[in-house]
Parts: sequence; structure tokens; C-alpha cells
Amino acid sequence: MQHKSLKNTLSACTVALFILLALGSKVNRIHYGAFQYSSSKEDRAEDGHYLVKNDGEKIHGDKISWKSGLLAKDQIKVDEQKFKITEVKGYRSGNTYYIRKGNEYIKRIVHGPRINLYVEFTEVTTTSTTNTGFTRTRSYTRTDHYAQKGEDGPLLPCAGQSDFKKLMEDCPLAVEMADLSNKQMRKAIKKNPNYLNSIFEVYNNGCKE
Amino acid sequence: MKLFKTKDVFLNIALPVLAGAIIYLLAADVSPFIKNYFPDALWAYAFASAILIIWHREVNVAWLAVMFVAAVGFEIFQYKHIVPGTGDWWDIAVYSLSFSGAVFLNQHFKHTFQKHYSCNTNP
Repeated sequence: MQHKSLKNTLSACTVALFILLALGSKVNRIHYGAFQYSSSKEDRAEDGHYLVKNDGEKIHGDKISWKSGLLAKDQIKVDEQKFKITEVKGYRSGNTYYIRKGNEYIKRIVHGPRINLYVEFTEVTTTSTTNTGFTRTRSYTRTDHYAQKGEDGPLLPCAGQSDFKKLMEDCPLAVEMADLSNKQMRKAIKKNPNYLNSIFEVYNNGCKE
Repeated sequence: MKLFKTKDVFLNIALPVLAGAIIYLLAADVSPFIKNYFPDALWAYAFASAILIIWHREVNVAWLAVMFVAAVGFEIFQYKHIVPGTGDWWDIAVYSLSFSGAVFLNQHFKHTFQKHYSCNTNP
């Protein structure tokens, strides 16, 4: 019985270790502020407020709002016209486009003929209690990035440079720009806050600067 | 006899983990697909083998099922942002193949190291 108990304990430790290793290899390595979030690559001729339904139809208006959640009806409104969130694949508000991801909309920060990039902001609050009973609350903004090949492609999670290189492997210049050490990348972003965005812009520009 | 089990652990746990780490950290001129998923496949194989070796290569369906559910569940939790990280459906496919591979090869390694496992179970 003791032998079996030891095996069960070892098995449980193995499963826990596997999960910890998996966690370590997939953690989002792109911190808040790594990209420029003010989108400047949208077609200005398309400025305005409109919804884009799943069939491509545009519904224009003056004001767009949406809400979703456990206790809220998932809907998006343009002026007084209401639609189910699942009927609307995206919307334009001024010079920024948002695409639907699940029951929410996330912002597009790079737009081009070959690849688009979106960012999702999540406010995270963590609470910890010290051994003296003092409770500390820490809040931060988590950013998750998603790439999209083509206008109707699926949203592909991007957690770091290896994902960028994988997505743009057919563009040696973009891969070279993404293939920097952590130190080199930090320097590049400090020198040019638009550096990461420019990797995607190079890809959209036919693999040219 | 102890040496034989050490060989099993080295061949099916240590070596795949080490190979996966080398590919992940050091390999430069490999396809991104290989660099991203091959280490995961090796590590998944190593962990399934660990479970099998712990149970002396008798297939413990319960623990293998726990490992599979944990792997799939974890990727789903990452995809839904319940835990940190980025969920990837390809990882689930890779884990499934590796776990299956480890179970498929189990009989072969049980036979190869049979003397040791029979010895170990004797009082």
C-alpha cells in the first residue's frame, strides 16, 4: 500500500511539473508599451463610425457602444440600432478599427494587405497577504496580441518574438528585425518606440522598409 | 538491475527533455515549426514515459488520463485567459501524438527492460 501511495505521489508531482514547464514556455513575453497603440496605418478615407456585419454590410452612424458580460446582454449599438455582438465582426470608430474576439472587441494597431495586428487590454488585479496579515493589492494592464493574415483570417495569438518569426517566416527582413536578443530588442524599442510595429509594416510593404 | 531502470529513465525521460531544451534554446537554422513544437513533443513524451516508468511500465490508465486532461485543460484555460500564457491548439495535437507514442512504445521498452521490472516487483 505504501508502495502504491508513493507511486501516486510521484505521478501527481510529475503532472504538476509538466504543467509548470508548459506554463513557463508559453508565458506572454510582450509587455505593455512594447508596441505603439495609436494606430496610424488605417485608411483615413474610411474614417467614421460604422459597424461591419458578418456579411460585410456596413451600418453607419454617429456613435457606437457595446456591452457584454455574465449579467449583460451581449449587444452592440450604432446610434439606436441594436445588434447581437455575434452578428457584427468589427466596427470602426473614428480612425480606429476593432475586431470581434469572442464577445468583445479588440483594437487594430497594424493594418496591411498581408497581416494585421490587434491588441487586447485586460486590467488585472492581484491580491496577496503578507505573513504579518497586511494585504497588498496590485493592478496592472495586461496586453495580449493577435495577428491576422488577410482580412478574414483567424486571430493567431502572438506571445513573443518566436511567434513573430513564425508568422513572417517568408520575409527574411522581418525575421531579422524580430530576431534580436532581449537586450538588443529593448534598445531598439527605446530608440524607436514604433520598432515592433515596423516589423509588421515591413512585412505588409512587400518585405521592404 | 538498478542500472537497467536508470537506462530506461535516461533514454525515455532525460534524453528527450535534454534534446528538447537544446533545440528550444540553441538551434538556429531549423524551421520555426520544428523549433516551436518539436521540443513540446519531446517533453510530452518524456512526461508520459515518466508516468509509465513510475508504474513499472504497467499502463495506469487513470494517471495517463489525468495527464492528458491536464494538458488539454491547461491549453484551454490559457486560450480563455484563465491562466497566463497563450493557448495553442497545435500544442494539444502535439501532446496527443507524443502521449500516444509513449504508450505505443511502452510494450517495447517493457520487454527491453523486462528483467529489471520483474526483479523490482519481487520482494
